[in-house]
Amino acid sequence: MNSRVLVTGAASPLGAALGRRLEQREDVEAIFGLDLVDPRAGFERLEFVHTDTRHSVLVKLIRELEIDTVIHCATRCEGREPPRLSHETNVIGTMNVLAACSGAASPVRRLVVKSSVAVYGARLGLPGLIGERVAGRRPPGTVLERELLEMEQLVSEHAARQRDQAVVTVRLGFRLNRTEATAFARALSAPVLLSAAGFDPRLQFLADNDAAEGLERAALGEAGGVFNLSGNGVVLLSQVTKALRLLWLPVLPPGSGERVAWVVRRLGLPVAAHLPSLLTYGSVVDSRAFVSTFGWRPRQTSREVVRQFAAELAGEAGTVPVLEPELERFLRQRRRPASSHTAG
Amino acid sequence: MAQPKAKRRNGRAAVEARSDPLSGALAGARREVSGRVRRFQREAPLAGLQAVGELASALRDATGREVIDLAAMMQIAQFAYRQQELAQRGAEYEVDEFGFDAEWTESLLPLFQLMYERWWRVESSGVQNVPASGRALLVSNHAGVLPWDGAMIKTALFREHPEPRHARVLIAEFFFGLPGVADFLRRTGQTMGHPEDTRHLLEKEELVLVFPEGVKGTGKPWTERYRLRRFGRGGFAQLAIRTGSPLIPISVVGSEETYPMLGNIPRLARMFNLPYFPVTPFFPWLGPLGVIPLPSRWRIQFHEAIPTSDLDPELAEDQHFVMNLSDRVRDTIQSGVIENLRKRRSVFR
Repeated sequence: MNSRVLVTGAASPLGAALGRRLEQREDVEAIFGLDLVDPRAGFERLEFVHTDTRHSVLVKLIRELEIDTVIHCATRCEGREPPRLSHETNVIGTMNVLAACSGAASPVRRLVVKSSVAVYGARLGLPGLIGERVAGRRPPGTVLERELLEMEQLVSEHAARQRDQAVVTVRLGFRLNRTEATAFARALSAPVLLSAAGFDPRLQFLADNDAAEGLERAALGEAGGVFNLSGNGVVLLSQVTKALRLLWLPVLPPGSGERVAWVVRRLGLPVAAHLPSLLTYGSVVDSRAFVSTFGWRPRQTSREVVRQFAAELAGEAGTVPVLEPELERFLRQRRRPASSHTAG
Repeated sequence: MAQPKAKRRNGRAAVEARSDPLSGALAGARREVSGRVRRFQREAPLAGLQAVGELASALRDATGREVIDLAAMMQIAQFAYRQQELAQRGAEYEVDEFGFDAEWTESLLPLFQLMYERWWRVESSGVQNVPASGRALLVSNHAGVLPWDGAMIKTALFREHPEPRHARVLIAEFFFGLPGVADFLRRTGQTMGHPEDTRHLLEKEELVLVFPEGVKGTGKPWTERYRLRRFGRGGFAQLAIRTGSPLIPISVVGSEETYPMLGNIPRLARMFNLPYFPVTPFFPWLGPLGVIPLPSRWRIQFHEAIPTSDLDPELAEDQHFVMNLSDRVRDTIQSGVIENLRKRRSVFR
C-alpha cells in the first residue's frame, strides 16, 4: 500500500530527519511536512507547509491531501519551554491533531505520536526495568510528566474512539542532541554536573538516527499501541561523566525535585526541572515490545551514543555543522532548480 | 593514572638532558629515584605478605598455635589486589539493565568468604537442590537487623555450588532511596521487589532470592526469634506459577543471633526514616563497634525444589491455590529452621 504521509513538527531536527528518511521510501507516495518555523535544511520530495497545528488548517490539509498516515512530531518532551507554552504545544496541539484525524470521513488510517520516556519520571518505587503499563500509576512528579501523561491520555481516548485507525504512541528514549538542545545534552555540555550525593544512576540513551528510524518503522508498520523505544544496554552516570570528562559533583540532597533544579539553574547550570530526579534514581525502560512488534531494534547502544556525544563535544568527529538560517535559505534556493533540472 | 604522568616526566627529563649536562644528570638521578619508588610500590605488597608470613610462622613456633591466620590474610590481599585491578577499568565496563556488575561483585567474594568460613563457620547443606542453570525462585526466612543472611546465601551459592551462580535478591523499595546503599545493592545484582522486575529476571533464567517476610522478619524482637512472620500476600508463589520457576525453600539458622534485638525505638526510627531503630546489647551504646555482628554458628539448608513448571499459569489467579503453595513453602522453611536449631550444639558452636 502506498501511503500519503503528513509529518508535524517537520522543521525540528528529528522531524526533518524523519522526513528525509520517508523521502527515500518508495512505498511513500507523497509526503508533507508542517511546522511554524522554516526547516534548517532542504527536502527533496517533502512539501513543506508553513503553519501551526491549528484545527481549521489541519482538517483541510488532511482531507484535501488524502493523508492516510499522520506522524505527530510537534511535541516537546525536553522540558525546555515554560510550562504554559509546552502545554499549548503538547496538550492543545495534540488535541487539534487528533480532532483533525477523527471523524467518519477521515482518510487517516494510521497515527503515530511522539512521546518520551520522560513520561515515567524517575522516583523510588518505579521498577528497575520500566514497562509500558507503569505510566500514570502514581501522580506525576513534574510538569513535563503531567503534560505528557495528559497528552497520552488524549491519544488513548482517540484510539478507543477511532477503531478503524491504528494509533501508535512511541515513547522515545533520552537523546543527546545539541541542535535540538535536549535536556541531557544541555546538562552534559556544561563543564560541571551537579547530582544527588551517593547515587550513580543507570541511564539509557537513544541515538538520533535510531529515533528517526523507529518513528519511520512505527509509521509504516501494522500494529498499534504504546511502545518504549530506547537504546540497548545501560550506562552509569559515573561512566557518562568519565567519558565526557566533565566535573561531576554528586552533592545535592537525594530525590531532589523541581525546587533543586531551580536552585541549580540559578547557579548558571542548564538543568531541566525533570532532570534532578532522573540523575538520582535513573531510568531504564523495556523496549522489547517495540522490537518484537516492529521487528527492529535500535542500532546503537546507550554506550555508543554517549561515546559519539563525547567525540562531538571534543570536536573530533565529523559533526553536522549547524548552518545559519540565511545561508540555509540561500543554499536551498540554489538546490531547487538544480534538482528540478536533474529530475526533468 | 600513574603511568602517563611518569612518562611525561621522563619526556621532560629527556629534553633537559639534551640542553644542559648538569641538569641532565640531575634529571637522571631524579629518574632513578622515581624508578626506585615505583619498584618499591610494586614490590611492597609482596614483601609485606612475606613479612607477615614469617611473623606468623615465628609466632606459631613460639606459642605452639596459630596466631595469625595466613589464609585469611591471603584472602584480604587477594581482595585488595583485585580491587586495584578493577579500578583500572575506568569507565569501560558493562552493567546489565539492573546495574549488576558481575566482575566487581566477584571481587568482593574473598571478604564474604572470610565471614562465611571464619566468622560464622557456615555449614550449608542441600546446595545441589539449586539447579545449575535456568530460572529458580529461592525463598528464605529473614532475620538479623542487617541482611547478612542474603549475603551468606549468595556466598554459599558461589562457594558450594558445583556451578557457581549469582543470586539476585529482591529488596524493599525503601533501601533504594538510601544514598550509597542503593548503588551497592544495584552493583551487586539486587533489584527492587517489583513483580515486573522479578518476572523479567526469571525470564532471563536467573536465580532470584526473595525474603517474603521483608523488614518484618529482620526487625522482629529477640524473644520472637526463629518464628517466621507472615509471608505477605503470596506474591512470590504467584510469580513462580506464572513463570514456571521451581521454588526452593531455604532455612537459615544463626542470623537471629548476629544482632540480638532487645528493643526498638520507633521515635528514632521515624526521625531517621528507617523501618526500625534497633537496640542490641552493643548498639547504639558502642557506636560503630556495635555494628560488628556476633559470631554465631550458622547453618543454611537448601530444601528440595517444588516444581511449578507443570502447573497451569491460570492457577496464579486462584488465591486459594496461591496461599496454599505459599504456606507449604513457609512450613518447609519453619520446620527446617527448627530441625537445624536442634542440629546446632549451641549458639556459638
